[in-house]
Amino acid sequence: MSLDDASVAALRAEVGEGALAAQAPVELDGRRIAWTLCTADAAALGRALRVLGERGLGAVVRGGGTRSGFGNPPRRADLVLSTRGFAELHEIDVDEGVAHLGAGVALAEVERALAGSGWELPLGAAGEDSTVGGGLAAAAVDPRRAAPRSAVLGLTVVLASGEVTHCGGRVVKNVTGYDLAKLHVGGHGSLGVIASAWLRLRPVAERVESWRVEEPSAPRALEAARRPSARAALFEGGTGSPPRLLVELAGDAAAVAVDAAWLRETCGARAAGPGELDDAFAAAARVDPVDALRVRIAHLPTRLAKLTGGIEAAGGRWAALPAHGLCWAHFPLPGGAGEARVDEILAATRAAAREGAGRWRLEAAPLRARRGRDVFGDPDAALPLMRALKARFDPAAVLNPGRFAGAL
Amino acid sequence: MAAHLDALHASLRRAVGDSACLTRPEELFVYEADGLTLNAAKPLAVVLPRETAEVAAVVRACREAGVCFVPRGAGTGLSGGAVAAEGGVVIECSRMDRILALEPGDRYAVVQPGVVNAELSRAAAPHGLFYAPDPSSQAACTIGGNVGENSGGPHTLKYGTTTDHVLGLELVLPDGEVVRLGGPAGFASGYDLVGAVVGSEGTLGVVTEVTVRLTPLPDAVETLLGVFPEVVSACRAVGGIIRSGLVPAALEIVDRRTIEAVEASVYAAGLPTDAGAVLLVELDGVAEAVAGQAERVRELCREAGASRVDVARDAEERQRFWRARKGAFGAMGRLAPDLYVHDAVVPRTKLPEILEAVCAICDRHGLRLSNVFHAGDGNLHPNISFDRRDPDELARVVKAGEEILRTCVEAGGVISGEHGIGTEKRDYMGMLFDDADLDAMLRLRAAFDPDRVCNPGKIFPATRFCMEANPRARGYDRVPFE
Ligand SMILES: Cc1cc2nc3c(=O)[nH]c(=O)nc-3n(C[C@H](O)[C@H](O)[C@H](O)COP(=O)(O)OP(=O)(O)OC[C@H]3O[C@@H](n4cnc5c(N)ncnc54)[C@H](O)[C@@H]3O)c2cc1C
Repeated sequence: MSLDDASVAALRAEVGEGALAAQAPVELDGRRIAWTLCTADAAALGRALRVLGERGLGAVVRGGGTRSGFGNPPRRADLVLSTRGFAELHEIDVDEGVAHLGAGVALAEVERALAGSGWELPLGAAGEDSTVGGGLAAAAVDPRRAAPRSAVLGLTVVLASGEVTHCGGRVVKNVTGYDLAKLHVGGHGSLGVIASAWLRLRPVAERVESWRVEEPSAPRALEAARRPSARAALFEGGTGSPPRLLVELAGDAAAVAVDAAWLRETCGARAAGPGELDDAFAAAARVDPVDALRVRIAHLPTRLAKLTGGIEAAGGRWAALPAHGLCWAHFPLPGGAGEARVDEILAATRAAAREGAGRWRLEAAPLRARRGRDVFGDPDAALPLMRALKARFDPAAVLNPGRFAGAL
Repeated sequence: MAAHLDALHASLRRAVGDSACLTRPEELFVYEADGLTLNAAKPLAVVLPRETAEVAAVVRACREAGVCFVPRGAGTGLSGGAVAAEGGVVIECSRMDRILALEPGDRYAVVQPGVVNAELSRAAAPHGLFYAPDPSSQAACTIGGNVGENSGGPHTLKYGTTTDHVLGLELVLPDGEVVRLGGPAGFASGYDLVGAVVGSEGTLGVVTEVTVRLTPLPDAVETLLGVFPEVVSACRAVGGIIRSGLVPAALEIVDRRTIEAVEASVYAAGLPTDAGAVLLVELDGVAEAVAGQAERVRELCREAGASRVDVARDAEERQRFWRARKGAFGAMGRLAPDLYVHDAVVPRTKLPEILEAVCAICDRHGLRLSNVFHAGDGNLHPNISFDRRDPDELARVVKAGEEILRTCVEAGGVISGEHGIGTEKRDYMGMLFDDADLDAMLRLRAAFDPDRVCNPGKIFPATRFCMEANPRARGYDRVPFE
């Protein structure tokens, strides 16, 4: 699948010659996508989306590409729609603690712009190239920021119908109309292309400390992760070494001091290096195609111990954010391992999710393990509603066709 | 028509039982309005189901009879959301008032929609937990209504609104099917449908079960009351506190006219009636931290011009401070027969100038205005006391309301922070959203309720209704209606 000359001409008529190029092909799930469309003009992107719909073409929406390994294989992928053209830092309002950012802006760039302002970003980056739009569309979770949805105040979204739409606003409280931003955050670009976002920034903590606890029990790890100033806590095991917990305390210096004393006295915690937690999380949860299966299981926090036993028994290691009830399991899948091994791992995953009263998804796996399976996990009871939404927002299935839950 | 109505009443009775189906005019009268008494409409019947299956049966009965239906909680809403604007059956959920599960370890509860907000926090308290969203109406309003409006409250500043605390929903869809969205473990794996339903004002289905997050009660609470010469300096203090990086649990302003009303009422809290405004600041967290934060707040208030900053010495004094805030609406009942509670949000830095503009608007229209509001969120509540029996005054109230909203929007704000759009503000949606934006919302609506039978007449501008019903009229064919 690629673009024929007539489609290229029709698209270029809408976005301009330079905005559609075949210079940097993108590899995705065994496909080589030659063409990339990248524009700074949301209205032009809208017109291009209409052209794609009329011609029955499918596009892969892409920010920095740091999370493009996650998703079902696309049903069509005629071109890449890069959001990198939406590269403007529209506004950073340090008095309000809000920012309006182009979807294609790299989170790292925003962080640099915020340095010294007293504010920080509410989104975590998977890599130097992670973008604002990508982080939101993927509802990217990191140890410090488990809920990107609550950081979004408003969005500008280009719909498949070509319309440039707005939802929400720039203020920190708002119930004016439906909260459509919720559908686009975590919608993986399947309902529209996020062009820009108003985000609520977080105040920089007065004090940050990192601590390590060796061999805590799961209940103790949960207790530690729930301390008032625990901003992030990562608990990992099944690695061959005894389980360990890394905790980052952040906030008011007095509150941090209280929790640090508790960690030392109750858990025998020792000071850890500031990057240890991030490194451990990156190793456990990063999404890129590997010779391994990585699953994410959302679970009830008190059930963690029940989950991890099953993961280890199936040959996996795990890393959890205990306070958020999220656990990543990593299972090696050497080249020789066949379908039966994949089934075995997924059966263990399913059982773990059941134990945790939660849900699983396959965050990273070689293409062969993803084919014919839904990486978003077992079918959701709400799938008919999701299908109806997709049909209303993107009836011609232009946006990331097949990649979302239920192969939508 | 009468035979048709009799048949509807009969099938509703079959669905919920005789005693849970109200049809007599005097019974229906109380359901003609909610907290916004200006927009009244008579329902065809009111049902009071106890179970999800009864709700589903009612919805099916309505569908068979070709009538629409309106979910309702306690009816404290202030935008006309729970009113049968286009006729139809009101499904009042107040008898669905059971807490089905409370899991302290995993910090969640599963409740029926009719559970009263404050009751849930009361039930959670022995476990050291509470339900964080706390509308000022929390003694009466229901969790179902809170979900409908995505309600907030004084403590929204730190804890967020309802949407930040709802993990899962059970919903009777407009076709009578029952669906579960999300769940106690959160992180649903498709679209965030829970997030889309919260705040949808009862237009996407009837919520029959809500799984909510419970939050640990803070170790320590400090409540401060800053006394300011005028409301503008109190707003300046709010700006200073936000800018300092402190995140108080609440930052509420009560202006002079409200103070006067409160002090003359049973809610009197001993506030200085010569003050221009008081700022109520609540800090919570670890005791060791809260004390220091209180000191910083005190300094910031002084810098902004506070003549006095008192710290509540005990729980009793804290309650006294809050009485001024929470009793404000009740106290205003003494000022005039009617009260119009407005709700809009502006960037917090714009509060001083917007408040001046709001006062000027009301002065120009000769209206009695008082302000008591969630300053930390920039969420204004200009309250206009009036007498609806005076048609001229009523017209001025409506005109001033529109001007206030326009002023807020021009300052970068929005037309509702917590009360919703309902029938009240649907014709002002165009101030913020263009046709394409509203079309996008209608796409969501159509995915859940393609026939527009669930709480019609809300949120979307009246002029769009004919378009909704007849998508091809006036060239309107962008939403793919089937
Ligand atoms: C004195 C006073 C103070 C207030 N203070 C605040 C405040 O601080 N913050 C705030 O946010 N609001 C406040 N309100 C407004 C109001 O109390 C809230 O909007 C509240 O959430 C409404 O709850 P309710 O049970 O009364 O719902 P209702 O008014 O009955 O309904 C509200 C909306 O929710 C829908 N709904 C109700 N139940 C369901 C259900 N089961 N399924 C689907 N939809 C449903 C209705 O259709 C309607 O659209 C205040 C009101 C008053 C009178």
